[in-house]
Amino acid sequence: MDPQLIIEPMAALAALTFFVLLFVPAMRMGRKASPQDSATGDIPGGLSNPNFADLLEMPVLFYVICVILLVTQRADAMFLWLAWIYVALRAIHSAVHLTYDNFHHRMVLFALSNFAVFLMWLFFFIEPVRNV
Amino acid sequence: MAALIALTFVVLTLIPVKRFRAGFAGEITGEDFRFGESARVPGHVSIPNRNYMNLLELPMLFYVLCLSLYVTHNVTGLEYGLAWAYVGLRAAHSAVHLTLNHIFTRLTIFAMSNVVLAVAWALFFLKIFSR
Repeated sequence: MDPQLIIEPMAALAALTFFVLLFVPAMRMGRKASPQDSATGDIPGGLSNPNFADLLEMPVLFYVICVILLVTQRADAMFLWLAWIYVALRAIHSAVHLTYDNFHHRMVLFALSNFAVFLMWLFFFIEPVRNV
Repeated sequence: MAALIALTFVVLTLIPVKRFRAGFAGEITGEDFRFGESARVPGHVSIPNRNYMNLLELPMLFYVLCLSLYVTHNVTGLEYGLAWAYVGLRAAHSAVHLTLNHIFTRLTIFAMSNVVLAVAWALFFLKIFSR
């Protein structure tokens, strides 16, 4: 398989991030928040968009492992599957967070997504050991 | 990339400068930072920290894109120009945030920087998968 295919899930997650970013002004302008509230970033509950910030936390570890896989030319089908599973779980996580926001659903999706990225890191490090 | 990293460290340096100055002025104590920043921390003290956090949010997508372009030998003149435009806009954003802090100016610069980044990503994606 073409190792550059790993860029597809990366670009998909970046696209999701830009998409969720659009909700930030939508939510802020739609409700009663004065520009002064965003001067210091202290906007009372619900007016900020925590999902956007979430998408730039753990996903950083996802992008890093993807770039490492790309550089070391080890982006095989298994890693590609895990990467797409991760992106899919994060997309569902964002959807839940921004719509009905059930805490337990969100938590399960978040935990599963982190497990997927954890497996990517784990398999990446296990493989060289196996080859020694 | 190095320019944006340098900017991040400059803004990071402003955090203790502002905090210690406010601390010596008796406005805040160390206790105000036990759980992040308490409501007692004045706005002008928390701004460098806010800008610093911002610089570690969307710029992550900038670094990822730059490394991906580099690794896949796709650094074109256009992508290079967009990268510098992004860094220039982020520098302007930090400057506005840390000085005038005019919300709509900040919002406009922030939005423009994100459009530049989104375009750079889109061009890269199209190039990789149109071959």
